[in-house]
This record gives sequence, structure tokens and C-alpha cells, in this order.
Amino acid sequence: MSLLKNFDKTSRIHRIVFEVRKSRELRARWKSDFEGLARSYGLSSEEITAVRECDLLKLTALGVHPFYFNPIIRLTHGEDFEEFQSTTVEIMKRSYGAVADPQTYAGRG
Amino acid sequence: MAKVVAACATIHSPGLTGWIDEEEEPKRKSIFSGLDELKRRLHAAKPDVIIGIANDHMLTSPPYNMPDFAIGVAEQHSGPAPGVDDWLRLQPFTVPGSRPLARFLINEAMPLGVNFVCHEKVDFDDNFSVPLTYLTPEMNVPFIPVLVNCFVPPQPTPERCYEAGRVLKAIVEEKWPGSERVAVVATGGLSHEPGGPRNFDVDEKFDRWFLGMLGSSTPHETILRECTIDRMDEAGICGTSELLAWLTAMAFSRGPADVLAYEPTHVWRCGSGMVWWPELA
Repeated sequence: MSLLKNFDKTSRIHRIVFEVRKSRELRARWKSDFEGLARSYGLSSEEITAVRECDLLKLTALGVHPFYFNPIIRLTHGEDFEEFQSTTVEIMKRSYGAVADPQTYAGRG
Repeated sequence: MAKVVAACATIHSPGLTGWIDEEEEPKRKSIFSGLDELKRRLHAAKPDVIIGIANDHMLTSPPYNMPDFAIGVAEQHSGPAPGVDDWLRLQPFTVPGSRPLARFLINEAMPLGVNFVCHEKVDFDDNFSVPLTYLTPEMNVPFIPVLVNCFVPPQPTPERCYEAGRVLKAIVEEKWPGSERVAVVATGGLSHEPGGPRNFDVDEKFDRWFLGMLGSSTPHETILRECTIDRMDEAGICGTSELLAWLTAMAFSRGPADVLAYEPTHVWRCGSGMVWWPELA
């Protein structure tokens, strides 16, 4: 699967992520009322669910640029490194399987 | 006339400030030793201005409106941008810009066929904040950020990036009326795949191949032909192609680069390394 095969430059998910990353107020709103915020950006129910659940395969299919996956995880699950790291590992494993497990690479090199 | 006095490239991994100690100690030591050497050489070159070249992590421009090339013209830059500050664990900083030279670069590049979009404000994330923290921690050398579209298709080709670098060099050395000493610092890479299945992996084989080419007498034309965007994507999509910034800086040099360090730093989520081009074009 090419991560950019379905890349859709016009996806509204790009707009909400781009603008929310830059605004403390919008970042707080993402946490407190994501659905309302997402609706105001015109996201569909399918897009809202994919973003809220950090469903990376679904987001890929919806055309989201993969570079925004980590920012989406951070916006949803927190900025703290330890918290972000453990959450990201779980999300990556859930989405991609064992290939995304950092334990696979532990000690290599 | 102004003179280019240094050309170099380094990683900008957020792990270098955000989670330094998580990486294995021998790798940390090797990379910080390389960074120290890069800093020593950069200071010895006594630059009056630094042109920084890096990708935009879709923070200054969004993926639906990403220019191939852009330059920040602010009188003063600040970082790290809100939203990445906690994650990078960096204190707020400011660094002076150089609006006259930045404007001159944008305007003089027009007749030379390169469109540098003008940014009144560039959001500094790891792309510039991390290297500046280590290389010029006093934040007192005027800095001009140059952004390259490294991973929003269709990116400029390696050859096009190199051409943009040549144009910048020609403007600095042949058209700008000032007499500044200008250093060029590219940042980004090496192999990584943020957001993808290899989010926590690096491609050591690719990294050593790439650095091997830079460190050898391989002609620049061959490097540009071999290091295609497809080849970089194979080593980690939407991350490895940050090396387009390195290829832009390579245009300021001739001959082989000194590879100052390399480590496959999985925990920092990218291959880590830095180079210095001793011979300038």
C-alpha cells in the first residue's frame, strides 16, 4: 500500500489539522468538542470517526497526507512524550500490524 | 561582494531535544560529537548570515497550498511554534532575520526562473529550532529560512532543488551588493517514515548509501540522478525526501563532503547524520 496512493489534496481534514495545530484555542476545542469542531469544518461522519479513532488505514483511504497522522494522534491523545509514545505505538500496531512495533527494531544497528 | 563561506547539512530530529536520553548512549555520543564538530566548523567560518534550508512540515503552508520553494522575510523569527513547543521541550527563542537579503533573494530569483514564495512569518518547528539550538545557541546570527516542498506531491525534483540552490548562490555572490559572509545549513532526513508503518524504523542501508555517495568523489549530477524521490520514498515515505534540502545545499559546494557522523537512531525516529562540504562551488 502506498501511503500517498489516494492522497486527496482537497480533503477538509487537511484544513482542520492545519488550522488547529496553529491555534491554542482550537487545540482545546479539539479535545473538548471534536465533533462540533469537525462539523464546522464540513467533515463527514466517516471522516470524523476516522480522525477521532486515529484509524490510519481509513485516513489513508480518505486521502489524508500521512505526515498529518502523528499530529492527529498528538491532538487527540496529548503532547506529553511518554503518553504520546505509548499511544502511538498502540495505534501504529493496530493500524499496520507487527511491522510498526518498535520492539521489532530494538537492538538493531 | 558577499561570499558563501560554509555549506553543510544535518538532521533536525525532534528526538534531539524532545527525547534525547531515550536513545542508546553510544549513538547519542556519536551524534552529539558530530554536531559539536559541525558547530565548531560553522563558527570558524564566521558567518554574518545563515541561510537555513529545510522542508515545511505542512505547518507554515498546508498540503493543499504548498509552494515548491519559499523564503521567510521577517525582521525577527521566533520559535518553537505553538503546538510543537511542549513536544520539542524547547524554551521560546527569537533569532534575527535579514529582511533586505531575503527580499533580494526572492526578487532576483524571478528572472532566473525560480519562484520563491514570500512568507512574512515562517513557523519554526523542529526543522529550524533543533539545529539552531545546537549550532548557534546564542541565536545571534541573522537567519533566513528557505523552505522546500519535500513531501507534498509533486515535489520539485532533486535537479530542480539543486538548480534553486545554484540560483541562491549566484544571487548572493554575484548580485547582492553587500559584503556578508554567508553560511548555508540544510536540515532534515535521513531515512524515516513519520505516520507510516515504519514510523519507528530507519533504513540504515539507504542512509549509508546516500552518505557514501556524498562522501565520495561521485559527481553531483550522478548523485542527483541516483537519489530520486522514488528511491528516497522506498527508504521511508514522507520523511526521507527531506534530503531534497541537502541536495539544494549541495549546489553551494563542489567535490565530496566530510561525513561527520552517522547512526541508525531508531528511537529518535530517523537515521542521524551530518555533513560538511569543505570545498565550495
